[in-house]
Amino acid sequence: MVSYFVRRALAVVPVLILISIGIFVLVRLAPGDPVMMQLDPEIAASDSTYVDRRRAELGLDKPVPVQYLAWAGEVLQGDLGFSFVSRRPVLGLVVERIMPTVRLMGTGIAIGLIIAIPLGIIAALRKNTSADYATAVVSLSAISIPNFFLGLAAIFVFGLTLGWLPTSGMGSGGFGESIRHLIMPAGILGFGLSGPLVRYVRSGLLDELNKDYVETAIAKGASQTRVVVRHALRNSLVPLITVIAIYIPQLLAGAVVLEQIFAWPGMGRLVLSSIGQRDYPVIIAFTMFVGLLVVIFNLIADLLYAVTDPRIRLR
Amino acid sequence: MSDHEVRPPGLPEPDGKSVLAGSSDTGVQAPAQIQRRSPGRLALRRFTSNRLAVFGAVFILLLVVLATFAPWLTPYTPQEVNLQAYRNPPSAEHLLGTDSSGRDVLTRLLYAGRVSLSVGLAAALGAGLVGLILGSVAGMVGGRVDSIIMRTADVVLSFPSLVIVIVFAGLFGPSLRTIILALALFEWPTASRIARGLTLSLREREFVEAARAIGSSEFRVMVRHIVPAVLPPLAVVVTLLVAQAILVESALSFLGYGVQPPTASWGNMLTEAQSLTILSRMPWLWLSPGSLIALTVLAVNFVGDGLRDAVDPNQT
Amino acid sequence: MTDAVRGQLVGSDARPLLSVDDLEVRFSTPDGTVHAVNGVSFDIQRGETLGIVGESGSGKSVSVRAVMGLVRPPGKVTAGSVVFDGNDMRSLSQRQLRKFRGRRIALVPQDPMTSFNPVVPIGAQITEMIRLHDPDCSKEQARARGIALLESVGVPSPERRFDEYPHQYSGGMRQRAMIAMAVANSPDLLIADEPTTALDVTIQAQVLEVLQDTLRETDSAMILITHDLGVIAELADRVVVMYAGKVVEYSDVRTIFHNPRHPYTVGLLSGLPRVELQGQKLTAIPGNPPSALQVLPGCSFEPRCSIGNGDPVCRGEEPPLAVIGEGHGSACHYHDQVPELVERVLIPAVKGSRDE
Repeated sequence: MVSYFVRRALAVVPVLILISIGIFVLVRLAPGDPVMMQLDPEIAASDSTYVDRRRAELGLDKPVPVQYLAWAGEVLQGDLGFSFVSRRPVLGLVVERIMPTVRLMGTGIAIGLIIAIPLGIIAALRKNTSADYATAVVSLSAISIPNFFLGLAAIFVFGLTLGWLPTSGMGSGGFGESIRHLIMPAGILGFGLSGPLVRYVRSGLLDELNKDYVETAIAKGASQTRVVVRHALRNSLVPLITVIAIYIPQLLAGAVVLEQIFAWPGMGRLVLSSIGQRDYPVIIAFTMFVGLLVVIFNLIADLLYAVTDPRIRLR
Repeated sequence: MSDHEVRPPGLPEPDGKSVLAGSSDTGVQAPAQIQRRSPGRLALRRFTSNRLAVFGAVFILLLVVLATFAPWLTPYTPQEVNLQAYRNPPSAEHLLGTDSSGRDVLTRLLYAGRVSLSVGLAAALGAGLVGLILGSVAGMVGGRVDSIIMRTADVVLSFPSLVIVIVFAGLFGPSLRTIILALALFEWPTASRIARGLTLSLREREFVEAARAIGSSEFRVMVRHIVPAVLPPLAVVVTLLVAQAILVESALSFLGYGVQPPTASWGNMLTEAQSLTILSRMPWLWLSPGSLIALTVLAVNFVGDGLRDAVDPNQT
Repeated sequence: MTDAVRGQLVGSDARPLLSVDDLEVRFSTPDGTVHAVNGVSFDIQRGETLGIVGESGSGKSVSVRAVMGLVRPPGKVTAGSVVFDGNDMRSLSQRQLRKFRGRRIALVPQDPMTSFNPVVPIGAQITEMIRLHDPDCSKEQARARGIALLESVGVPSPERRFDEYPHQYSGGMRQRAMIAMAVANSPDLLIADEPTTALDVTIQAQVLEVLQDTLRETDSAMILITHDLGVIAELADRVVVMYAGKVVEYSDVRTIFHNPRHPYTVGLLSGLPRVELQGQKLTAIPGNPPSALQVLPGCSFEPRCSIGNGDPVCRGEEPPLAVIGEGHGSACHYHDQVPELVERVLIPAVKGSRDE
């Protein structure tokens, strides 16, 4: 099994290289000049040697492929360069933003499952009843309502009107405070994810309930609850892991928006400010880390899949 | 029922993914009826018997009409600044109130509808076209070309399109063209997979073989036989992409990387609401555009789901 | 149903273990109501093996599922009675039925590949069966019993295999384990639904042997559903032949082979319908098993029958299941012409196959 994961992990490397080249080229082709943007326009106009010197310092005068190779070499040594804006090492900047984003996404996935599994079960067991249709509408709404609108509405209701929950930041206090800060952004992220998940839980459970082993379980004298929870549900949740892995990119996109609204100090907020400032090294590093994050989540999904399905575990 | 022998041929498989009210009982027709009706009319009948899909279609149609005839429906223009009417709550003159520049919110909503709907449609059509071309080429040609196209699709799909589009818009400057282009370039993989799958299955079918046998070129086979067959399921994908594109565009505009003020789009009408004052004291400024986005996307999704059930009730 | 037939079907003892009477099962589908089972009756004595034969779609599987309350929507038992050891099974709640399922009536399903939960070890599925009906049984005791059961059906190194998953078992081993699970609580009645159909021919014999040995040990009665008369010959005491949701012939096993009195039974014996069945091209043969959607007047086998095809009597009048001998009934207007058909069809066929 270990070799399976090593192989999966290695297969990702060329993809990451492809992504890095794509992004690097994209960024360099973009209009706007980081040196000019950092300088007072008057100085830039009067002192062109200073501009050239700054460019040389930043390595922007060499041809693009050379810049890429130099950059890639540094990346492999763990050096992602310095932010044009804050002059701090990019690696540090990005790394300190990863955990908040991962925390947000992880909690979002958990909440998504907590919403989707019971709803999916109800929809499947009450198939073609009003409960089923109501779940379908809820699930479609979760897909359709923009998360920034939900975020604003939640801040309005729970933060400003009711005063129950903090509206920005992660909180610096203890565990309880962190949870209170997490509830709204992670809850909205999770609600959005629950939309597609409900459908998969429902159809997966219906598929499983139709299988022979379910009849075997009923014929053994197991109760309906036991048949659904112990037998069918467990089998229907295995493919759900893959579904979540597929939705990781969308979840990340949702996190970027929600981080902005809730002033959540994650990667999304970092990249939005960096784009405004044309802070190329940060944008490139961010994009690489997004790729890495997607890949890591996919590997975790593979691992979980193998853990839950003995047919893969023992292969 | 595990006992397959008792399921008669006409008995429907438990419908797994159809989630819409009314869709499930229209899924199966008596065989005789299927033979009598053309597939198109049958699909139309299935679609119209799906109440939510019809509701969605009517809602969108209404929206299109309102947006199109906006100049005749409202006495204001979307850019008309009126500092006397600064952030007025809804009233008889301004049904949905006014914004920070005294512009009529309802008027801006209608004009913004033009932008949001056309961006959504254009981006989805673009993505569908790119997907159709790449997917059917991958399916027809196969081999190396196929694997390159599909691997690229995997990579694009494994990236959060919103993030890429933000980067794109941030770098090339936000404009309508950038958004449409970026969405078309990063939302095509779903469409390409459908197109490729269908092409692969059609490629070996008799009528395509026959066309080849009488000397039709690959290109001609593709245009004459494969593309028409791919269109109905592609229409479903494109419809769902419209919903997706409207969402992405609104998020983008909300963040300031999409449609630029003073041009109104539903997304950028919410940008101001990031200020807590507006959020808490002037809910009319953000409630109406936000709800309109949600309703529109919901309506498009209803239509998309209805189309999917109508085009192929047994599929997914 | 006449008292005479009733008496015939009851067999020797006064009170059968299970008595199914005039059972009717319908499936409501968007295309109409499917009449899957139309007035089926049979009895089974303690310790007896009853074979039910028929093609796919003859309603045999649904009939026995009705016994356990396992007919699932859109299917519904609409009429008839099922009395098991004095209990009216149709009037029991799901909760009450659970006390019977797995404990007193157990099912050996058709496909051992799909009938075990793929993500639960075989052993755990067997102990679930034990502990569902014996909550006092500790995990260790259940494990010991499970291992003993696996051993008794001939699963090698049962200690180790107990913790293995279904996909690690071969098809034959899985069906052995399924039998072990079914008899875990020494049920009074075992329902084996085509227990060997999904297996390789070489393994079929072994599994049948295991089934036979297990029955001998537990003294259970068994309903054996099959479309394979060879299996019937080996295991069954009495036979019920079903066609289009009805019983068309019943008798003891000897009589079925030596003196069949229904053209359909003859067809089964000649093996021809089986070939059609396996080819799954039933529609290609004119008038094949009638659509269970429409109920036609007359004999449902008439369109395929070599005696009555086109006969106005067969077309117009449904033949009743009549007693024609000791423990022998047939639902054919021309059952007295069947021996002649046997002469014509069966004997040359047997000869022909010998000549080859």
